[in-house]
Amino acid sequence: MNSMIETVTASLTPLARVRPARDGVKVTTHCLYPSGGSVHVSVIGGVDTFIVSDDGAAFNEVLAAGVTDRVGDSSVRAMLPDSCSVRGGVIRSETVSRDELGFAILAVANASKDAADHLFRTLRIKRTYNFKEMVASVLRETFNDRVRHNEIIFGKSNKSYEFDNVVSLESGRRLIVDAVINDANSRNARLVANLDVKQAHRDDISQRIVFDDSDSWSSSDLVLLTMGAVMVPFSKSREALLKFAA
Amino acid sequence: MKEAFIASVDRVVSEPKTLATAIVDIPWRIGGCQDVRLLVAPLLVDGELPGVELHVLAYPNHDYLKFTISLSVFGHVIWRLCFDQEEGHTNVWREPIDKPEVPRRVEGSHYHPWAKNARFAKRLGHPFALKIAMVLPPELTNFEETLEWFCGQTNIDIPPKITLPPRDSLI
Repeated sequence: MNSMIETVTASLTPLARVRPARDGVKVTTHCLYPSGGSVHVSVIGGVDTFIVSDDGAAFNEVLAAGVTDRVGDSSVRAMLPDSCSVRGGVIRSETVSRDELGFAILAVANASKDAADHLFRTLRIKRTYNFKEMVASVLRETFNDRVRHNEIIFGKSNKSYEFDNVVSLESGRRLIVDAVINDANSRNARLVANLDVKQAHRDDISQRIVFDDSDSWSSSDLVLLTMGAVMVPFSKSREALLKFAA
Repeated sequence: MKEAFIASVDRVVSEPKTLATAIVDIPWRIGGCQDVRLLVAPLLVDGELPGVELHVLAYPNHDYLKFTISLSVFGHVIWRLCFDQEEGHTNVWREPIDKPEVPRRVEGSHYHPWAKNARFAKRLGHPFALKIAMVLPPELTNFEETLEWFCGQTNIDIPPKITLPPRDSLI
């Protein structure tokens, strides 16, 4: 049993360290942030009183993950234990005595880890991904070189419209696949283009509008868009388009 | 949705990227807390701005040289380099046993390549935890060389001339 204790102790010891820092000491703890980085805390103080802090590391974790907007202290304050507080993105202990120091280090390290977990779970990344590119990518994978981009097609009004994706089907027909996101400009522009082309009643053209179903849409917006073309949710687009093309 | 996002990111990572604007025009701003500075530089891909950015986090008042360089694609950091001699990273999730190049734990500076972390891109719209870290080549000891190496790994054409902000508090 003793050798087992020694083995476990030896395996854990190198993971936690104490080293000098600019104005105190830095402690590497056994806690891990969501990505696997060790939680470090700083201890500053004098002979008998100390303050432990995470130096803002929990908030820096989400900043390093791409959340560049300022995240307020209030986003984690309610979940912190009574012995910890947050100010300016830094989680810290109250002033503690020598006897309480070890507990304060554990409390701050765990609070910092929990705060980072919470922020990773709850913060949203701004929707900046390129939905049009994602739709184009699915079409290229599904239909290979039968996809043409930026095709000009005329509507009933004789106005020309540029469509991002047009698939040449084996039957000789062409399938317009338009991507739309939940944004008034995107909805209106794609509705007008599809509606005008639809009104031309061309036998050689079919139309589909792929919408970003990871977003929350109002039913009225979806119904409105169906006046322009058959709507297909992005998550089912590959199957739906293959079925249509068959 | 996840597969399409990953395919889309794969494409962006493999394509050549260039800075969209002169770096001197981009200010450092305060990051997560008072002691962190953030620089966000938009990147051009195929002549367009599709939402791809180079991020640099600097810690000008830190005891020693510490910075982070990241590639953000559509709002998500998908490739990150953490330069920090005291940092420790545990690869809780391991590659299969036949890929021994992924260590169980990394001590010191490391990087999180997209190729090893794409499988963790699970919750689109939330920050990704890049769980797999690799040891940074030890010959990289300063910011300029490390930035150049990062740009080479992520197909950013010309490494931008970035200078880390100076210390702004008393030692």
